[in-house]
Amino acid sequence: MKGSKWFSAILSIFLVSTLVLAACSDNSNGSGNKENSTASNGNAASTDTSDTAAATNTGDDGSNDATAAPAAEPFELTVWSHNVANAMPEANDPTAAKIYDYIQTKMEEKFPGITIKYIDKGWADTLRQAIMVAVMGGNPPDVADGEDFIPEFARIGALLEVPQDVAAQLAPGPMKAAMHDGKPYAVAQMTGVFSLVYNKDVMAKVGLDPNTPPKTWDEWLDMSKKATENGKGEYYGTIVQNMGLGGTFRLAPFMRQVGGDFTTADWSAVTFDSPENVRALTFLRELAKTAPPGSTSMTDEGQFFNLLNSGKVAFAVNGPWHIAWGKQMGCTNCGFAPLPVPEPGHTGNVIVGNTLFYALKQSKHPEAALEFLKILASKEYQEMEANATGRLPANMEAGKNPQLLQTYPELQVFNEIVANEESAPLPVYPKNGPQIWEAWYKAQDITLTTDKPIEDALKEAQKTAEEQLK
Amino acid sequence: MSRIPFKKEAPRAQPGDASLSFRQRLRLFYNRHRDGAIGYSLLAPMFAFFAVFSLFPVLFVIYLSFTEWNGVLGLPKWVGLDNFERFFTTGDYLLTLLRAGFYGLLILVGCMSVGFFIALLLNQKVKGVGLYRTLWYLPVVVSFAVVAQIANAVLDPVTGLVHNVMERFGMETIIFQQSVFWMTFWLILITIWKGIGGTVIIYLAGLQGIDTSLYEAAKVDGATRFNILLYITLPSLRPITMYIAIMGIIASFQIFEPVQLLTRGGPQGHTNIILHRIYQDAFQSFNMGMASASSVMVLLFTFTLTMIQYRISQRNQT
Repeated sequence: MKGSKWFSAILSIFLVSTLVLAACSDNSNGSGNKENSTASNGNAASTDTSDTAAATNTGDDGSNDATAAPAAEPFELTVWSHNVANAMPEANDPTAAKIYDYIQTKMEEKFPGITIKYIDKGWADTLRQAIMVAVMGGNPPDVADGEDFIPEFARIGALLEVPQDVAAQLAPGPMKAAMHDGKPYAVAQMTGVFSLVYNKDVMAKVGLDPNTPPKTWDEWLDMSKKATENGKGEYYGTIVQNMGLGGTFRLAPFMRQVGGDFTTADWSAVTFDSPENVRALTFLRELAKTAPPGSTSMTDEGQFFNLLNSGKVAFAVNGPWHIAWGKQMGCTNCGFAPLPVPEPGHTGNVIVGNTLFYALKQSKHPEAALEFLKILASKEYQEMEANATGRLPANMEAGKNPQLLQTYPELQVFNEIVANEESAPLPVYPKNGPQIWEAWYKAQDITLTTDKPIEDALKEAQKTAEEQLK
Repeated sequence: MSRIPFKKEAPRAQPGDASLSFRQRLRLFYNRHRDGAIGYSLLAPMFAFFAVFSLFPVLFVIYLSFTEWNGVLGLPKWVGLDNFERFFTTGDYLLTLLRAGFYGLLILVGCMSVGFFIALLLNQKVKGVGLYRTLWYLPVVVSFAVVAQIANAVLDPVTGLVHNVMERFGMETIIFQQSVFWMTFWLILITIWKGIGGTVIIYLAGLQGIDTSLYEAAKVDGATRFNILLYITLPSLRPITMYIAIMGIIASFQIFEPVQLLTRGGPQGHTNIILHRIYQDAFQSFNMGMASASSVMVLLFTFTLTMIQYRISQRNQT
């Protein structure tokens, strides 16, 4: 009896010790490596013993020093992206395999034996949240991509600065979304602007000339109304995207065409309720009435654009990625044209599909992460990727590649848009960005799905946004 | 190894006795508090687990509610009651809290009334009752992500099953996603369908625990089925009903998946509820202070409601 009590007591103490030690320990594989544990400073992700050299140069703030010496032994670099090539490695796509092989070869030149693990963590809000949670947990990937949140992440100190010589190869427009405090924190891979996409088959079926897309708002609205009227429930005019940020991206060019925008030029103050925005949204509301009923409330972007691809509607607004994707989805007789304008000369567009890659400050292999970015910014890589996807490369030299235009002649329209229309990314708000966007989405939703006054919706959004910026 | 003499005739040694070594004093202390030492040692793992995974997070959230912090950079900055002031004066915090309560109430009433009725049916001795019970419980174990995917496909405004059926029968189609009433309706209906299995199981356990002699006595006395239900079954299930009600009230402020996966708070934020708002603050705006303040408010609100409910039930019992 006495022995069993002793046994229980010792067992309890052992369990408590185990729990306490487990709770206090980090995730380091090399927990016995005192140097590593100290360097992690309880903030940065712990390092494995194979990468000691890189990890020991950890800064006081828990961040890794990007100038650390390369790792002596093979290690794994984690990349959260589905945009590095035209398919994920596991898809065994031959074109994608060539791109992955190219990156691997280039990386091995500096980091022999390195393995690169690509993980698809989605896009937009899903990806943003995954990254944020990983950063908060102290275990983010080494490299990831994104589009609209780079300055926000840079501001909270989550990203490594990109060397100026790497950033200098890339077009300034797409790189504007990668800047914070005048410094680059990401590299632009592919980029884009919006165009009008029209389904020639549908246009012919509803009595429109399939080779004459609309050039002005009035023409567009008239043609859309005619398509819906003549379509008799089978064919429709224009689908106007409403869902969240995707919808906002596609409304913005029209606001900019009439001199409106979400913010002032320096992004410091919101301008939701400007008369110019009211004018643009009024036009878009009218246009949305020519869409299939309920389409403005669809939540799946793929299904939404398949209304165009499958030959149900005549017009939509989308970026250069629609060239290759649309064909895959059945839009084999689709055309691309610059966005119709309110009056001749009143152009405006948004930089979109702007895939930006960045290295996380808590990366276990910061030098390898930056080398990866350098490869992605290079002319050679971007030419390969653009040829594989039909998208516009952000590298200025790669964009001049004649083979690209031969493969994707539709890209010429986008090149013209880039040359003739002033484009800028969506703004990044100084604080509470997601909540300000949420206020805008509400106004956008009211515009496109109800008949309530647009002015009131924009005023409400403006008020909320101003509160969030205080 | 020296041992402390414990002869009956010897004066009892005291732990504070200066002539004793540390080891001897420790031994004396242990002998005096042996039961307590072993008891606490056995409880220690549970305490440690509770402290690390429950107590610390709760205290940390309370601390964060008085701060401004993005969760990544630097240390939380003390802002006093600013976050709580904001909770009551700006945005839709209070509204989302009340809406969560309203949804919770509807879901609770739905689950309890329908759940009780189904439990009564499933308590009958019929062939294949095990299968019926399994079928009713099945939605509980299905992931909400799967349920939401199916619901979205069924309710899609252009290609959805309901839309197509209505169109086929020449009815005017409804765009559910643009209607606050319909999105609230589907949200509550799907949540009830998903959660009712749990209520049924608990009621079923309660029904099977009622002494059958009570029913037999009532029958002998000529009681009707309705009277048996009203005067035997329902009073016997009162503790279980109270348990379900209290748990339901707590759960009502924890509704998250239906909103995140079905409505995303829409249309125009009219189905947003407090937990989704907290999630938006914490993981979209990185505003840990505000998210924590809202969490503390939910805690206080839930605690108060539960206490009121508990007191009422205690009073009714006496």
